[in-house]
Amino acid sequence: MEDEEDFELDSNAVDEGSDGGEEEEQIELEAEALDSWSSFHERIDALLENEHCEKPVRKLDERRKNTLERVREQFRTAPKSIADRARSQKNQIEQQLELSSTRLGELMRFGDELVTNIRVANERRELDRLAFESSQQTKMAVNLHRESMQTMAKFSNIKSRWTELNEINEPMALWEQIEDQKKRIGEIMESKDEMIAACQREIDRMNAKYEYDCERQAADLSCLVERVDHQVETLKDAYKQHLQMLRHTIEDERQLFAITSVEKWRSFFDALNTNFEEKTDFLKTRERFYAAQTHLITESQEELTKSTRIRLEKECERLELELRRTRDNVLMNSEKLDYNYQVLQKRNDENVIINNQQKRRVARLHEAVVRMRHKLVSINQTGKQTIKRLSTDIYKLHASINDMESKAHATRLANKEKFDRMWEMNYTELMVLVNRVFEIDRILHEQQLAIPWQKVEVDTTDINPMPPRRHNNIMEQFRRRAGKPSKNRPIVKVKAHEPDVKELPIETVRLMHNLMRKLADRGGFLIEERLIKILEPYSEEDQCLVRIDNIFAALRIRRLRDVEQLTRIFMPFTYCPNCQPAGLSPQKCAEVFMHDRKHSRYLKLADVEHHEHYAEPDSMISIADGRKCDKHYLVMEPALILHALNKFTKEMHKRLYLTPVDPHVHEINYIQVTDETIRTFWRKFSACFPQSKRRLWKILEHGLNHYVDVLKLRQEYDAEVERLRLQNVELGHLLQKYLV
Amino acid sequence: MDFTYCEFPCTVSLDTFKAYFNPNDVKLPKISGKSLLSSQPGLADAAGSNNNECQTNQVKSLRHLVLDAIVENWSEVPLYEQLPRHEDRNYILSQLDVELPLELLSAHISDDYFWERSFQQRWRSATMQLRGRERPWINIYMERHLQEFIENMQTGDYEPEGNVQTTLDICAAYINQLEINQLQPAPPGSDTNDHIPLDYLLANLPDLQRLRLSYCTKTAGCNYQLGCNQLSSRDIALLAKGLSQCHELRSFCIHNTKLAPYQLRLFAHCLDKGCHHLNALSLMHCAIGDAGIRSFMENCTKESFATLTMLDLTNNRITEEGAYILSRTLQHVPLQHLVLRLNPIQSDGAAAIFNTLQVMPIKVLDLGSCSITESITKLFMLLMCQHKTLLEIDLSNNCLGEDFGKHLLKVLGLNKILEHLDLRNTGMSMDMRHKFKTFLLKNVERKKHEALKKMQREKFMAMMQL
Repeated sequence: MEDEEDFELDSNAVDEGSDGGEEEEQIELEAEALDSWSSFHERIDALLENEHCEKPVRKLDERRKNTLERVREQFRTAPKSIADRARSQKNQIEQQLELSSTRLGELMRFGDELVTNIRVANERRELDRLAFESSQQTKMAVNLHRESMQTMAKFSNIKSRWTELNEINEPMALWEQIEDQKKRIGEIMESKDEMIAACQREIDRMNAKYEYDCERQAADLSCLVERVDHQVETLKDAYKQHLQMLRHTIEDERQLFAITSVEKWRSFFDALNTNFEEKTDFLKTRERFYAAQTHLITESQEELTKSTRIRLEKECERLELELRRTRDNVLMNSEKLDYNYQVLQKRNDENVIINNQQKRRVARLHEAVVRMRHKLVSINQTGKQTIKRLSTDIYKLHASINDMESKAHATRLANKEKFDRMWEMNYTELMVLVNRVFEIDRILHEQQLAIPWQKVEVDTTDINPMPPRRHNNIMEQFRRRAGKPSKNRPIVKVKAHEPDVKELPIETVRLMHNLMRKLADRGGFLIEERLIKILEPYSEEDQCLVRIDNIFAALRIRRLRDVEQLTRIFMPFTYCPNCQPAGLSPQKCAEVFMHDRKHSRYLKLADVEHHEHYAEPDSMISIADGRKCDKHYLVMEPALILHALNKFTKEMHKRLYLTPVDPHVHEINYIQVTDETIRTFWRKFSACFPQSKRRLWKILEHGLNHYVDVLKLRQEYDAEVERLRLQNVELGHLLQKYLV
Repeated sequence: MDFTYCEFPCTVSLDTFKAYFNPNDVKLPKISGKSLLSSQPGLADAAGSNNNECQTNQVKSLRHLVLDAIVENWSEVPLYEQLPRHEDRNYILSQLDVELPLELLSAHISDDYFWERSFQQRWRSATMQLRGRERPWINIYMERHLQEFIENMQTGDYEPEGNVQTTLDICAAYINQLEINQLQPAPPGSDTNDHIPLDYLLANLPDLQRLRLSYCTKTAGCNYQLGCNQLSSRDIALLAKGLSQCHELRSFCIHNTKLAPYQLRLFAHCLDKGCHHLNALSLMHCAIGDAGIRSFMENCTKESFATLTMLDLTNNRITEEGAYILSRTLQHVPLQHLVLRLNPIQSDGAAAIFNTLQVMPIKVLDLGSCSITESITKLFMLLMCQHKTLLEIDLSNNCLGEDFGKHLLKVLGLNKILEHLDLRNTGMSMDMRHKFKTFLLKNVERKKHEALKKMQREKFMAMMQL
């Protein structure tokens, strides 16, 4: 059984085939379709032939005809059916291939079925066998079961009998019983034997079946092998045949193709030939026509050429002449041009050289520029350094100048002192000498001459009066030496007169009232902000007061004189609302401003000189204003207040810091007397005594000198006498001694 | 053309050669097994004499003498890779003795031509190779060698460290498929029925993809004893151990061997755990029965056998109960080919299988000889109408009757997929079957036409893209 299955598996591997040969009709659907179309047309034509109808019917019939015509046209022009197209597209080889594949496929299928039929039959048999075997088996099993049940019952019967036998003592009875038992056992054995025989039979049957099956299998196998071989052969044949057919079709196709292509080629060739002939004919005729045409044209052309030749010859001569002339010209020009060209070339060369030179120069200049730049930078640096150094030098020099100035000042002071001292000494000496001269003269007169002496009048007034002796204040001296003004000087001046409010002029008081208010209102920027906050709860009057106080403190107005000054400055900006209801005229304003401007410029030009004069224009204006209105309060434009204030502060500043220079300037010229005065002063004394007196003195001197000499000689003689006396005494002594 | 002096390259195939030269015109070297004409006996006779004459009249060149010397001493000095010229190599391949020790040959030569020659000389027949699926001849040779080695090994000769290991060393790298049609039974008188253990062998074949196995014996003769065609418990344990290490196994088939339920459980376990690429599983003529199916399916989870596409359970005494179990389990398996031939599953079992087919991408269904009756008619019509992937159905040897045929004739037009329907021995007339066949032929032709159209369209698209 199992071998059979193996065999089947093997059979699958073997090529399959079929008897083949029989060719089925191929139903050609496409042909059918075509048939149907043709029948359709026929039907329509048949319908159209019925012409015996009435007019409306005919009309209708015509319309129908038309539509039919259209439909037919559509059918004709419409593309053929898909199958038709496919067939027309395919060539013969493909068709043959398709045919072969279908045929061979059929063959294959048939052979396959033929071969597998054996397997199916085999399986059928196996199925049947299985069913039969299973039924047989169950039957046998049932039989066995039944038999065993029976025998078991019998066996139990026998077994139960054995116990009964035990009770029997009679040998005969026992024997009989045993015989019975034997019989029964024999029955059982028989039935068992039967069963065994049945089983044996069954086995025999199965063996026989197996044998039979084996035989049949062998037969099947041989059949299968046969079929397979047969199929293989037939398939081989079929394939060969189809291959041959295919080859034939390919050959046919090739030949057909060759024929068609040859035909095609020939037709092309013929067409080409005929075409060529036609073309040549046409060309010939055209050629002839063209020849005639050219002949005509040449004739006319000749005529034309003759006439033109004559004309052209004339022209030629003329042109030759012209040509000659132009040639000369050209020669000239060419020479000129050559010359020019050479000149230009040379110039060009020169230019090139010059260019190069220029370039070189430019390069050099560039270098120089660079160098100069470097230099400039270095010079700049050095200049800066020198400037720095010089500035430091200047600072130093300034310092030394200051030093020198202070030194000069000191030396000047010392000089002055020395001078004064010298002067004083000389002067006293002079006075002493004069007095002595007078004394001597008096004595001379009185004693020598015994003439009453009359005093000669000599002017001895001192041209360098001694300054009053100062307090020996060391600080003062020191300050003076340092060249600074002493502080207490202006104060002393101020203290000189004690002013009072009541002393102020009336317009000042009036103006001040107004001014105070305005200042208090406008001059908020001079007051500290905190103060304004603090002042808030107070009354108007108090606020005003405090504010004014603060503003005055800020402006440094401490004295009544300052108030006066303030008024003086504010005056030009005021006007009387009663007399001048239009307020301050713009011209006036401009005047005020311009004046202020000028004034400031003037200030700058010469501070010191201006100082004595600065009050004059102001006062003039103020006087003019004051004259304008005496009995009314003066009013001021609020806008001008700040301007005025500014001016005031400037003036105050000037007064504070510029005025103290004056005294210092004065003190520089300590020695007021010049050399000439001194010389005259002293020369005056050389001639203060009259000539007669001087001659008298001379003569007197001479006489007295003579007298002195005489006296001197007398004295000498006195002294010699004395000495000689003394010598005598001594010599007397000595003589005595020797005598002794 | 005269090829006598240059060694004709064996890489050139016969067809190629024939396409370029007429075999009658060329002179070929008459070397043993190398001649083109050997395959064509008629031509060989015609041309043989000429060639022989040519050979005898000529003196051998020095090159040939040297090569002959190399061939003679090849067992001592195997020179092949060292030869630079392909002509020399070809000569050696054509002249080398195929009886040389296999390990020497397999170590040095892998050329296809030589192994084909060896195969033909050893077994006197050449297996046909499917065109387009040619495999190296060395693989075929080694597979056949190993098959004979295993089939002929007596149980007492088995030495895992000795002969088995040496054979494996030679063959193992080339074995892709193995077909064992019989195993030697245990010698008479031994207690157990153990066959040679296959675990070591299977575990040492890393590239094994197809295994076809049978434990039956064919040459027992007088040594027959009960159970020598069955697996013993040791056999199944060792086989399961070996199978669980065949990770590359794609196709496994065991046939003509009685399998007990516990053995099937082991099979299920080892195939599920060890072989992750298993595509085809065949258990033919194994008398599994419903109990076996149940115990096999008990070990399967939803994820197991996720790659299985072919299941063959021919002749396994499966009844409707087994079919029901099978249908319930197979819902998660992407089967394409299901064979339940010769199992009396009857109409109920077939109904259960049909129900499962609705969720399966099945293409081929074989329910031949399954004792199906006409009560299945309605369900089968439903299947015909609804199913979209079935290509082949085999219902031969079932009692279906004429009415089934009439119903089917009405319905068959609705199915455009089916190509083959086997209804032999089902109580239907030939005419009816012929009608079915024409219907199905139309299906086939339509498909062919569609495929052609699709190809043309693709070609057209490709051209458009170009």
